[in-house]
Amino acid sequence: MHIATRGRALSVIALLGVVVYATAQISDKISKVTTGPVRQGQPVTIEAELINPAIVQRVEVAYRPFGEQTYKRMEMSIVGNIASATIPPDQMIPPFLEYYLLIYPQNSTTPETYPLENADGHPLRVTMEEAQPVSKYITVLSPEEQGSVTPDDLFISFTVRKDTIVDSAATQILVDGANVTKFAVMSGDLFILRPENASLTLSSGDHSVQVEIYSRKNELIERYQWNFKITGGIEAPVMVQKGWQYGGSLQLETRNEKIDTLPGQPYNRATLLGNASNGNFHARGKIYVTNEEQSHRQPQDRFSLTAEIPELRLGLGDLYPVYPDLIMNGLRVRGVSGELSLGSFDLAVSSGQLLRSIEGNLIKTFPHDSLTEEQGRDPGASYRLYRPGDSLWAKYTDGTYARNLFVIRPKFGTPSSFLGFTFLKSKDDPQSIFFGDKPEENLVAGSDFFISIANHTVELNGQAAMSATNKDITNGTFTDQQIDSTFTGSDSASDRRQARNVKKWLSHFITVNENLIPLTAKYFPTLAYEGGISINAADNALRFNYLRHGSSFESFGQTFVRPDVVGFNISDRQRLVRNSLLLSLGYERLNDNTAHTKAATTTSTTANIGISYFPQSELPSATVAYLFASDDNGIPTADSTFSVDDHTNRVVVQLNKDFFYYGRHQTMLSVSTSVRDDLTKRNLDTKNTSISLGVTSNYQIPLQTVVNLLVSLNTLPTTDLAGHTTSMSRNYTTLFLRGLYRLDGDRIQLSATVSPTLGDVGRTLLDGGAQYYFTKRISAVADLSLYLNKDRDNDLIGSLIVRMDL
Amino acid sequence: MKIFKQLFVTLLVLVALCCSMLVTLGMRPSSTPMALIMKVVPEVVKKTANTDWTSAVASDQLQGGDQVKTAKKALAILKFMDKSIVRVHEQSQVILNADASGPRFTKVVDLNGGVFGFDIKKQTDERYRFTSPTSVASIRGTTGKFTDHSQNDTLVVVEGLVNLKNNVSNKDIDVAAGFIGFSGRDGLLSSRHATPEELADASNAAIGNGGKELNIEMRDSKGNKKNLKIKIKQ
Repeated sequence: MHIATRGRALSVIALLGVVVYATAQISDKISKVTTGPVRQGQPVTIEAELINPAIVQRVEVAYRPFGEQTYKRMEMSIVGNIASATIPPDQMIPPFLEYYLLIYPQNSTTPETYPLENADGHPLRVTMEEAQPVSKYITVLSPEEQGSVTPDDLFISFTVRKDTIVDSAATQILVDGANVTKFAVMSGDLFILRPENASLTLSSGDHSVQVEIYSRKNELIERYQWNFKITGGIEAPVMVQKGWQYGGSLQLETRNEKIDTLPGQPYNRATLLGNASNGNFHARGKIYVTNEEQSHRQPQDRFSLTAEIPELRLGLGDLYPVYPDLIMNGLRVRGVSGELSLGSFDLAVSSGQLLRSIEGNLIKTFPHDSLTEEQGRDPGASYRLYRPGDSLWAKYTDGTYARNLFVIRPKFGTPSSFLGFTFLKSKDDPQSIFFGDKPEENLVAGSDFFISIANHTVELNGQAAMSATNKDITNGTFTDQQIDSTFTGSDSASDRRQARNVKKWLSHFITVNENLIPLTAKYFPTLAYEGGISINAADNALRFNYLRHGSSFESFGQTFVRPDVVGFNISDRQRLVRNSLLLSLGYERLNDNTAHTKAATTTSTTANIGISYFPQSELPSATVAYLFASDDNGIPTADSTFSVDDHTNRVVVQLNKDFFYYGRHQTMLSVSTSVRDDLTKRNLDTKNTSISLGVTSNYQIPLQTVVNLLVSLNTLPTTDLAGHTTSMSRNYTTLFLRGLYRLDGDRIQLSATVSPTLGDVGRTLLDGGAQYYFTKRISAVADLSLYLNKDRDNDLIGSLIVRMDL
Repeated sequence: MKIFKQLFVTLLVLVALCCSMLVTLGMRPSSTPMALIMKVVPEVVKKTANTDWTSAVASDQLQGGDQVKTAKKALAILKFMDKSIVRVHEQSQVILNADASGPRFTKVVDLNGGVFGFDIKKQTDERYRFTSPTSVASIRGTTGKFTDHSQNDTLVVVEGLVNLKNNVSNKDIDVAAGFIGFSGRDGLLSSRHATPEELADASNAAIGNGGKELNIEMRDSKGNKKNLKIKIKQ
């Protein structure tokens, strides 16, 4: 008997189509972190809500897919109090992605991490499942999988493929967990269900349909599910529209923050978005202005205008051009960017400013006679001749030179197989500020390819790039006389002539002097390359990558390439037992010391195994993973200065279960523990265990609730005044309760949050918010957050946002 | 002995006939409808073998012989069991039919004035055929737009390949992706490169997806490949 009841639990694809709240961590800089819908092979956006954006210089996200030890980094785009970054799709590999955030306070190069404790060894996770395989028996007709539909157009329909073992009449249909089979109409292979026939009232938002196929022996042979969304809006008729089409929105925000004992900090922001199209022509514009725009900071305002036709795309303003990721990916450029697409030939060009000039601060002036005394008193400060006429010197803090950039990339081939060449030139403008130190210049040339074989069954990719960086171009390129004086002694006249010729040729591209890197071609310190192959055949996905980044490789367009590393990683995912088991294996081995200049080579090894179970029954889905990592440089552990020898063991267990009881409830239990054993004399051992339990509920009434409980147990190393390493514990428990209620047909939305943290950290969050739609196009959101802190003054944050769709 | 032989042959023929009938019947969707009406904007009527013109609603089933008619500024989206879609635009009338006489089962969409866009999934065992009083277009898997004007029919192919036949002259041509074919009442049959506007219009008529980008591979007179990217805005 397989008639399900309304309360029957439904095994669903965990986390699909929902916003995921990262387990509430303690931080005085980030109030919450959310990720968008998580799907294998799809990009995911991570958003962090900053408590006090004025004190944050920048935020980075460090992330790594399952099976890799090395974190990749990406700067998050900060707009208002939201920092966001989108993780590329090739990093979204089941069973999970690990990440943590690095928050750089103003005027500091030392970041704070989120989570605070041992983020590198005990990061946050985004769990995902293998993409659901194509059904063997079912063809979905309506609604489309992951599609949107208005309530008026909603009906559920699918066909069941004829098969000798299938008993079509036994097919079961569940909508949001409710068995509605008896209300469906069956015509041959076709099933149709109109919600009104089943007295189903489906509100706006995400819903799911599950179909169970049974054999003639009454055995469940397939359970197939798809999700769809009901949109409240009126869908425009699908007509061919001609002429100009316009759209836009205006958002005004005021926010006031009272943090600790600091005076209140107001933020006022306005965002204007616009778009227009006519036939194949499309244009989009954005203006974002904020009172955070100040001359001593990098630009906070944003503006951009892009226009495109099928063959050409042009952008002006603040743009984020994407090139091969060894060279440039994700950095903001204020300037112009364009891409010409002629089928088998593409040309992309970007030009603009990476950094704007910020003048340094004059601390004091003094006569030349006092220079030695001043430098002896503060050797770390910067000094320069201020007024040559009377030999007056200045002590100052460094400013930032304006940094300009130019990138060009011709590409040959199609999206499935191509070869590209990229050239990047970036240079500081030494004349842009007076109080600055060591303007730099950077040149990168590279090539990349991608080959797809047999409809992406086999994919080959590779990229290589060589860089040259001049660390100080203040005095420009060597003169011939300087070369002659430098290449003396054993160097012959022909050597000097050759050096002059090389300088003459190379100086067309970059300033040539003693600060140029590389100074030697031995071990190719500025060469970086990566290559990989992936094979997706049957139920197996195998991936192998080899990489080598020289110790001095640098691109001003990509500041997050880890230098000085060589090695490989290999991972394999296998679907087993009719896709209900996913076995993931990963192994990575990396070495540093590519230039052979270090005392020893450190080998980092990572081995991972993960098993995910997605049952065709009422059981919860489960993921169990074991991860081992070690670093060893072979130097005896008694050497406290250079020895590296540590092992980390991690175990992750996560259970997910969705069920329906007066609504849809998504539950999650996660236990994660990591133990790092530092075998050297430094003894920097750490232990972290976190247990989190969460329930996100969407009730049949317009109420959504989120309940999360996090227990975090940490043992961390600390150094006392005598320099001895001891351990300290930092344990806390956070309860997160949030409710959101919609009234008057979604016109009013009220939310409230209570989140106390107990233990070594004492803090309680109280938050209340309301959203009101004056009309369909005009709405306002007000929010008030109060942080009750145990060890310092309370924080109070209020905001009001008005939005108009034009 | 001869009688037994005749009986055996007769039996064999009967068995073969029965088998072929069963196979033929098996190929035909017995009680499964041909298509579903997925969407009606704002009002569409349909006619079946048993009923006269009545208002159609989403989820209505369409069998062979059923007709769908749209008024001014109306639209009907029909979805076949293989997920192929036909979008019947304003002031158009189509009749659905099935033809099992050939080697492959063929779904026939007869356009009796007006225009429809089509997004036909690649077929293995079945075919689609679009007909009008003037023309017959044979489809396997393709996207485009078919129009029955008063003087001629036009067929714009965005993806795939369509064989277009003129019923008057009995001539036929292949219309490839990126081309528009003309089939006249006077029997003339021709084709040329479609303009980007015609292709965008056909894509919109067929798919109706906002923001979808199509990459059409075309060949010039020398056989060189050229790619044309079209962004479709709903």
